[in-house]
Amino acid sequence: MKKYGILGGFGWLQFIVGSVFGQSFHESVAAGYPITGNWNKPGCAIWTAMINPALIVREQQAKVGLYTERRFLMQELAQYRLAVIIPRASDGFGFEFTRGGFQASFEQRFRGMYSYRLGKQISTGVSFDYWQLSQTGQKSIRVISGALGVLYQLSADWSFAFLLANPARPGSGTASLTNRWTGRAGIAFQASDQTGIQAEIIHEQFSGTTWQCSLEYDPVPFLFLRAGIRGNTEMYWTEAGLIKSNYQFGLTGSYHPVLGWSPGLNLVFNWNAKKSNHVDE
Amino acid sequence: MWMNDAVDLRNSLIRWGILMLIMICRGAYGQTSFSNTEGSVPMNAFEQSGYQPEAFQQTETESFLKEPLLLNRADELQLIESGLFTPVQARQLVQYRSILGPLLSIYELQAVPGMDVEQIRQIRSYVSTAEKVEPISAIRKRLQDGQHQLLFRYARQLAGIDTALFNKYAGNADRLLIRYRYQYRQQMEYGVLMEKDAGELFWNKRKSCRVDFLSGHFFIRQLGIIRVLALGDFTVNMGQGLIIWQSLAVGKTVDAGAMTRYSAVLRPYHAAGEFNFLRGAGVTLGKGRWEATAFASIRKLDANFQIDSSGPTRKEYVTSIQESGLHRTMAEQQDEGTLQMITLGMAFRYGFRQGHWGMQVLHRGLSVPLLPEARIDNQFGFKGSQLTNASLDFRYTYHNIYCYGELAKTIKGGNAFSGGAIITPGTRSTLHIHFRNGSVDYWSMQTASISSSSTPSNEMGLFLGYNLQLSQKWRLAAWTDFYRYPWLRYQISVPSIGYERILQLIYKPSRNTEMYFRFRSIKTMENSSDGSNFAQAFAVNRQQFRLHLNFPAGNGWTIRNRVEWNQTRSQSGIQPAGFLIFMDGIYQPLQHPVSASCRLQYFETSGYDSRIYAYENDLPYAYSVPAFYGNGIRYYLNFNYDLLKNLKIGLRWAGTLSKQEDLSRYTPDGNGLSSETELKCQIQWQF
Repeated sequence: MKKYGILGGFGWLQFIVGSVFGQSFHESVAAGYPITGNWNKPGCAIWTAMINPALIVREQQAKVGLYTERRFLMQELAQYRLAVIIPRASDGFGFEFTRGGFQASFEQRFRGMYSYRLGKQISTGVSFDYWQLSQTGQKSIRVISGALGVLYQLSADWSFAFLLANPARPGSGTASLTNRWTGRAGIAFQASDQTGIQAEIIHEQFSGTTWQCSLEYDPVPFLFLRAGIRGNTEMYWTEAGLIKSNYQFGLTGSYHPVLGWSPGLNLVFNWNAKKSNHVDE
Repeated sequence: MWMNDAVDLRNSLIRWGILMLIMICRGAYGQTSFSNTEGSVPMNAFEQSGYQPEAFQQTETESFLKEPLLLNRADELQLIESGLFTPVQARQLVQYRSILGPLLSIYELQAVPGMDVEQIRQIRSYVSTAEKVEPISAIRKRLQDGQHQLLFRYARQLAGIDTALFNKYAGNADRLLIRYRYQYRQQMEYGVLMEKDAGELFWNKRKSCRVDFLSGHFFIRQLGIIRVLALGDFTVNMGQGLIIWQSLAVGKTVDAGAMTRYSAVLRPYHAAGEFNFLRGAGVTLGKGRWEATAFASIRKLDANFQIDSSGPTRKEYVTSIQESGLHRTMAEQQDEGTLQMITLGMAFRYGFRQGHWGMQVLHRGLSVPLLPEARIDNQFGFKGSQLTNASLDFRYTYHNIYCYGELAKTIKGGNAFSGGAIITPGTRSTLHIHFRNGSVDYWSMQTASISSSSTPSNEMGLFLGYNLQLSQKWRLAAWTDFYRYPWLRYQISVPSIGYERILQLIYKPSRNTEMYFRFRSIKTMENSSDGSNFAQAFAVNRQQFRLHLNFPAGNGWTIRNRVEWNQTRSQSGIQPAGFLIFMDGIYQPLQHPVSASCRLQYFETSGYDSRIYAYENDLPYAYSVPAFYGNGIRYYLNFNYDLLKNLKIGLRWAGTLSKQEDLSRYTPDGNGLSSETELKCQIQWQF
């Protein structure tokens, strides 16, 4: 059996595709906002499954995740996320609640996910989001969106994923949300027990095509290091974390050349970490 | 005598040895895998070229389920016409049979160069190695014991109809196709087809035949010295397609075997396209290795008819010939059938074990001269009412080299050549070299030779393709094509050059699982966008990337995904880009009357120049490769149900929610969005 990293093996460097919490509430988040996570290995981290619901059924244990971030070091752009996934033998469920902003202007999202195992090597999943944007003195705005994802596990080392979604994005006007179609295709490769790489192409409606790739390295079983880069718009991110018993704790940081740093904290609880979190070869 | 016995014994031992080896090593692969993700080689080629195959007739292999193709009896042309073998594979199989005798099992096909396990799996239900001799039946038996098929297809756009546009059309938005076909094995068939497109009148009182498009054919084979007799509508295919080729032909593709042209000269026509066929009579006579074909056709074409009364004499001519077959508006109806074309032709072929050589002559006479609009780029183009072409062609196999070619000449015009070689230097690789050269004053119509443009004239090019089986699971395919246009072309104001390159890596770990990555690079020249500088053209570089996966999900399900994107770099400052992603679910359980397929697709391109082609599943006997540009979502659902043993019904619901550049075309809903939905149903009855 391979040791696939510390928590969820290859899952790291989460990447919130659907977040409305962009660089500001009323500016485009064309580049999305990469935080942590990817979509590769079975046994990936919980935040990866929040992007592609097809990953839930590939998990072996239920997980709960908490994440908080202070975007660009601004209190007004703070973000909080709570996620739960419950995988079963042939299907699985997931839920997420996200809230960001401050009292006078905030956004929140509730997401429900269902994942189904189509075969030994394929799983698929759907998610439905309810988005809400509230600003003092204005009527609250609500948008519903959805996503369809597929994960192919070609072998123990190679996996591919496709995602088609229409997440809410800031629209024109002072306060509005609109659905933007997004297509993503990713590939991941576990180069060794300690090292994995992933890359993907991302296209968001009206925003062109971009790419991102990232790397994980686990020097010792209780420590993991992750880093990634994204194309247009340029973005770098990293995470370092520790594993202890059923818990994972990570410090994240992303950097935008213009807007600056965004530090974050990541805490994940695994229900039964004694069992292998990964697929045997 | 004992020598012959010894040779037979040796051959038998060799073949049994091969067969045993194949049975033991079931995972072995042949020299080159021609298997293809889309299920058919043409689809991949159409996606590259933008061909619309609806206008061409498709090979219907269903008849072979009832009467399997006899691998040990079928000649080369029958193998090709079955649609199960490429011309090169058919050639190799015939040669294999001639050396080692009849096949003992269909799995022995693995020993035939160019065949692989996957293809054998795909065709095994349609072929047989039985040694029975297919009887040449009497006419009465042919007329009585065949199978009738009635096909009814109706389609209509439900939403997104441009009412302003349809107000100008003569007919409604319905599309209708009715086809009756009778077939007795491969020996006789006849049929009738009626069709109308959206906006056309199905029953037009002004026309003599009333129906918008009416086609009929009667075709008989193997009637003594008469190998083929064709009456009504038929297609003619000669050589490498330099002077005429009206049947389905794929363009440049990674599959070398599918690129070469070889077909029976006369083939029945039962498609809905209204341009690529002849109407009249044709016959092929054969004796031994000799074969002679003669045909005559007279039919009307749609053309832009003009009258010049400015001179002392009234002058009638046409400026262009319409190929769309659409008769919706007043202008299109006025163009309908305004040009009468008489086609006469003869072909001679001499076949031998290693190949054949042939000679063809084709003459066309137009009722009024064709005088295209005077432009500098078409000043060498065809003008007049009489066009005669002649050509010589050959195919020859020497050991592991398959050569082919055609040399054609237009009488009172120029020359053209198209030919090449397919070489299998080792057990895992195939090399394809193709050269073409057509002078600017070489003229022909309804051709389909291998070229970068739609006609073989005004082009010189060299194609190099290479297939390499890296391992049992991995295959690498690459080709490059350099071409030069010695004279100007439409919207290219200088003699230009270009190239096209494709690199494709295919991973096929199991029977139905396939993944490939394709990189395509194209360099062409285009005019300056402002149009002010007449002789200014600049290079345009386009790169396309595609990742495609095809995965069996069990219980009859297959999941298929693709992502494709492209980018363009040019000196004009305009940098078009495109992106497309789709997810397919295909349900085809064995021994079950229900099958279905569905797709959800998103596409966004910055304009028509960055369009992306994507093959779509459709109802049986119909499929399309539409070009997607603009911005939108595409979806469809196909549902097929075998109501009775001989009665099949199909339903298709498809739609596009898009935002186009030209918003004025659509009814504004505040966002410039347009929604188009189409419903199609089909009933197929066999009796």
